[in-house]
Amino acid sequence: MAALKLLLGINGLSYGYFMRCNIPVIVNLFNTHPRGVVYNDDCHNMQNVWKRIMHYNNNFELPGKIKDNLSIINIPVNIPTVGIYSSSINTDYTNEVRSVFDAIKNTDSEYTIASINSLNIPGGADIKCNIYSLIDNYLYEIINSFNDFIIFSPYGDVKPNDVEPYGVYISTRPRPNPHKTIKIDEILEIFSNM
Amino acid sequence: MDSDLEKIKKAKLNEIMNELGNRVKVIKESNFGSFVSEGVSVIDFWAVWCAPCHILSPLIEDLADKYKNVKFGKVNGDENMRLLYEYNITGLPTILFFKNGILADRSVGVVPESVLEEKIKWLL
Repeated sequence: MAALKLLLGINGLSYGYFMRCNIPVIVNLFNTHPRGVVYNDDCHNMQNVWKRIMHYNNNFELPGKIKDNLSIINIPVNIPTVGIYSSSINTDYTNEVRSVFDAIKNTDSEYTIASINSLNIPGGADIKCNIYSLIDNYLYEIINSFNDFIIFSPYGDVKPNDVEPYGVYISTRPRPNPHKTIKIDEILEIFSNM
Repeated sequence: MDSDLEKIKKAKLNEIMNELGNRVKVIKESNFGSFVSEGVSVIDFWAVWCAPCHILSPLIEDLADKYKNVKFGKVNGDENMRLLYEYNITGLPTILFFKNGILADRSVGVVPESVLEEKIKWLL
């Protein structure tokens, strides 16, 4: 059986909340795996950023290696989102997070690309910490079933009038130069070469 | 061209916002000495690519809001290498604590806010 690989994007996931919320699984992954910073100061629209990540131009223009054995889940290139599980923009966060992780759990494709969009809100720390904890709990259930993964955010915290340009990047594989930031246009290539 | 102009405008706006609003000031080699010369100062050495730095920086901002009588600054290590050599900083993030221009304490890596707060209280 082929090794299973997961690319999980969590829009708005920010290092700034790692010490503020109770997220032991994510913090443990951060402490035990190669990590980095996604730097993106010019594309903070969720749909546009995912079009760039997924090389989407009315169709996904994906590397041949992955396109024949790929599951996509809740990818927000359009609203409603695209994939095995699809949601609208107003979906309750509990429902979205649970449904995305259920879909991830049930996939048997070699490559899985999924997005969680519930953190893409300019809310306060209380509501965000609830979403962080929920993601953390579900992550614990699925992460060991993948041989390789990248967990990332294309940008950091979404504030009322601003978006943090620094996103999260945690992976099973080290990068050649850990002293460089990761650009959103590179992520699919890194994933397809896993 | 337009995008270059937008980037310059954004950088300038960030600079102005830093001067006006943020309690954590951007410090460079040129103004480091004068910044730390009087009172208690806390300097956060960071880099864009440094993930733990982004975990720590909101804690520094919280402390800056809490301790109005302390000066808080941040130094981009990649752009101010001389300061890294001068203060023997080999890992990021590193926080330096100064009192009247004299280096009094340091903290390396991500630590709880309470640990940083204790160091500040000790200097006040």
